[in-house]
Amino acid sequence: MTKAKFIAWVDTDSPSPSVGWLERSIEERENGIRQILATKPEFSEHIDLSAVTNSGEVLVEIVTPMKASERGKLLLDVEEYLKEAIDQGLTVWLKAIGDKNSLRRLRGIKIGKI
Amino acid sequence: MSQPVQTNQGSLILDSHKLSYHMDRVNSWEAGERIAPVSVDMSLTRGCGAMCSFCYAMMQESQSRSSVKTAHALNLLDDFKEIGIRSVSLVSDGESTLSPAYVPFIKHAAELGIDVANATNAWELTPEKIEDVLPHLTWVRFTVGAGTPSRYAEIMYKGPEHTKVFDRAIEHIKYAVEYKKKNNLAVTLGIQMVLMPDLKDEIIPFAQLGVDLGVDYAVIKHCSDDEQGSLGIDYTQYESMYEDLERAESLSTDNTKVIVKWSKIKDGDAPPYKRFYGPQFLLQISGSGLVAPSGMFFNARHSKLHIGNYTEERFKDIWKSERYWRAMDYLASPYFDAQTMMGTLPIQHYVNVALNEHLRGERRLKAGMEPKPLHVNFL
Repeated sequence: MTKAKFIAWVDTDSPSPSVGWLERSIEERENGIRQILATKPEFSEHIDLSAVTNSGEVLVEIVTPMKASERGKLLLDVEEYLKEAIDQGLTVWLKAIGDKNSLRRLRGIKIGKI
Repeated sequence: MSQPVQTNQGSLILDSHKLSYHMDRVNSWEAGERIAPVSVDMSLTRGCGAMCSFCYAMMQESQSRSSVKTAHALNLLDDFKEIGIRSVSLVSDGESTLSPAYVPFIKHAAELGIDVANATNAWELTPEKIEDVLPHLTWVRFTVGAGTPSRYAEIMYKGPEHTKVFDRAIEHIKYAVEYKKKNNLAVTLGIQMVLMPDLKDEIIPFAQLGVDLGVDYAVIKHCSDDEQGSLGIDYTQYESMYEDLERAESLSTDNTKVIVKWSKIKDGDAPPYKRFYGPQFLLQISGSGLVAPSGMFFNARHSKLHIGNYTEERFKDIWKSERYWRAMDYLASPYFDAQTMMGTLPIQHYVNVALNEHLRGERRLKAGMEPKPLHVNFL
């Protein structure tokens, strides 16, 4: 990344979902994302849509086992594509996984709200 | 950020950063070059026998845990050396003393000239292991959840009646302090309390314990939470503890400094930056072998920032990959908002504050003064 970009972006606000996106129902948003993903088999073969939120979060699930070296690239590609095709305010996430440590699980901490 | 604390061994910086002593990397980074991290924070396992109520590792579960073998760990160090990483700390998301790679890793790092350090609960840091590793370590920070045995056992283990874990930890810490003195070792020994709002009454006992143990410092820091508030930390409550924290600092002696990480405590859950440049200088690696820019992104939720796993491919290849730089560039772009997309006050916080101020022209970084502070290669 160039120095000029660093400086230009240091205080730039992150894009928020547009009014048009927010005015759609949850069903319309989910259908829109599914349709767009279906146009790219390299995405649709590997991920399923789980949920969308009002803050632009797109929650997906990886349906084929994938190494760390593969999943990051795939998900950044998906996010980039959704931003271009639908709305710049969309961000892609997976469902949070809870602690597998049996002792620490006794603390009863629930990870994530969505 | 706070001023350095003067100790018998030199100037100690715990509530700030040491980027000024790595201007070669800062200048290269600012010029848009791909830099090697100055420091890596990692663990050799995700496992831990404790169950600390403040533990961020509860929020750091990835898709799978690879078993880190000794050969993986030693190869990793060879790659660190090759690309120019200057220090490695065994902290991150697991208790590294449990790993068979623990002693060989520390010895090999020292052989390569990479500064190495460790944070541990000390439960499995037996006298034998202490003798093996202490001469090679730059610092050891013992996690001590509270100053009294019953509260310690309640916070770090199953309940207040299990004080044997406190006794075991204190026995090992005492041994380390004695071994250091006896052998005139340069290693810095400290204890750390992660302050949760319900631990106000433990502030003074903890500080007094540090003084009584004769460690070099006793530090009190805030508790991190994830961006979804899973631990439920109420950052507004910290202010009510300022008086006790100041009183704790006043217990400092010539031998033991009681230090409060005021910057992090006062910054609470509101970082003053939007972008996240710190991981390029201070990278984190999970005890699962996962390489992600920061521990804030180990959880599966942040899979888009998962770069690779060093048990599956060499770290030097991960570092050279486009994947690595794409993740780093993402964090420096408007697509990433540090105020809403990650947990509070990551390990890279001080570094990131400094880089943010540097870029904005508020406080340009410049070469640090001599003599260098202690632990200069640990940012």
